[in-house]
Amino acid sequence: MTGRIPPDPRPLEDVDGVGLGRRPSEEVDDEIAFHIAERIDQLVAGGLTRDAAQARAEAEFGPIADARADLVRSVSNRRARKRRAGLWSEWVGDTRYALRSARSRASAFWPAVLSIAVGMAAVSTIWTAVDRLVLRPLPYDLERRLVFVGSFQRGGGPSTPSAPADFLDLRAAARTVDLAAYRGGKAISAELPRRGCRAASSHLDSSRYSESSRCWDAPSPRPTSMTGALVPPSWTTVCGPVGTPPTPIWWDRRSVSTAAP
Amino acid sequence: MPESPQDLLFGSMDLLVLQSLAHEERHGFAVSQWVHERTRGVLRAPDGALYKALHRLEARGWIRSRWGRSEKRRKAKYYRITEAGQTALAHERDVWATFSAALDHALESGP
Repeated sequence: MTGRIPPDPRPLEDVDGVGLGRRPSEEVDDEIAFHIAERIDQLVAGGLTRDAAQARAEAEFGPIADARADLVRSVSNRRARKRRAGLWSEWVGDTRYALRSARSRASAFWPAVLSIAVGMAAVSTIWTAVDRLVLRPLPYDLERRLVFVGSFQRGGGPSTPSAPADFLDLRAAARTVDLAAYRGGKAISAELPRRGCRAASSHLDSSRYSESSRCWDAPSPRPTSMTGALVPPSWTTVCGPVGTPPTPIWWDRRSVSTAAP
Repeated sequence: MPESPQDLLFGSMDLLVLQSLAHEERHGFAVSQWVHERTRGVLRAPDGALYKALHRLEARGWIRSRWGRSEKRRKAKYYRITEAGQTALAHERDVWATFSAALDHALESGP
């Protein structure tokens, strides 16, 4: 037994297809089975019975289950690495080819790039229009008048969604308008908490909301001002009582800044 | 402290496997036989450990494998050394020679 075979010009691919498309476990089982079979043949040729030879071959191999698990893991990892390397190599090759083509055939390359860019812009524009007008139209005629109401904290910083208590204060102070809050992208009712309403801003889930008392407290810094909007009552729909689906509302675009109470 | 030469084998398994593949392609069973014969039967590790070494060396890129048919037409996985493996083998041999010489010197020195 020398294990020598004639030179094969194929570098890594499988002879006779015996290694193609098999799972790692199958490959490892074949490798171990080959070893045991060869060793049994050798021992039988030396005078052992086949059973004795098998027992000895397996004993010499050591714990087969342990070795098998280790080898299967090894083959799996190697294949995964090879796949990743192949993908990367393919991407690099494609990129180089594209760059070479761009240099050597610039007169065809740049018009093609321009055509693709114009095409993408056109498709994007058409899709946006179809999406807004046909697929997901807002249930209002004056979509552009929607505004966001936020709070500015003392000390500066960006506008943030109003805390529930702030919102209620603002709503009480805004005599000419009726305001509603929203959460999660949908407007919800702005009724007082003691009435068990879900009114809130995006801070509803924060610690400012006390589940036990079902009302809000306001330990946070008091806002110095709030941006809001004058909303004619005819444009505003406050959600119904608890349990009804939230209804978005309209805001007048004439945004104003008002001192917080 | 190792109690027999077998215990020392695990530390040198990679070196022996690389050396067995230095000049020709072999399947795992042939590698096992090579180690057993070339060490005059003194070193015989569990064959499972030898296969782990083969896969470990393949993961490092020091050997490559392919499937073929043995002389008895059985499916067999053949291993061959790579250029990186040849380089590693040369390095490992130098390390081992240095280590072995140092150990010999220490053991043969007087009190």
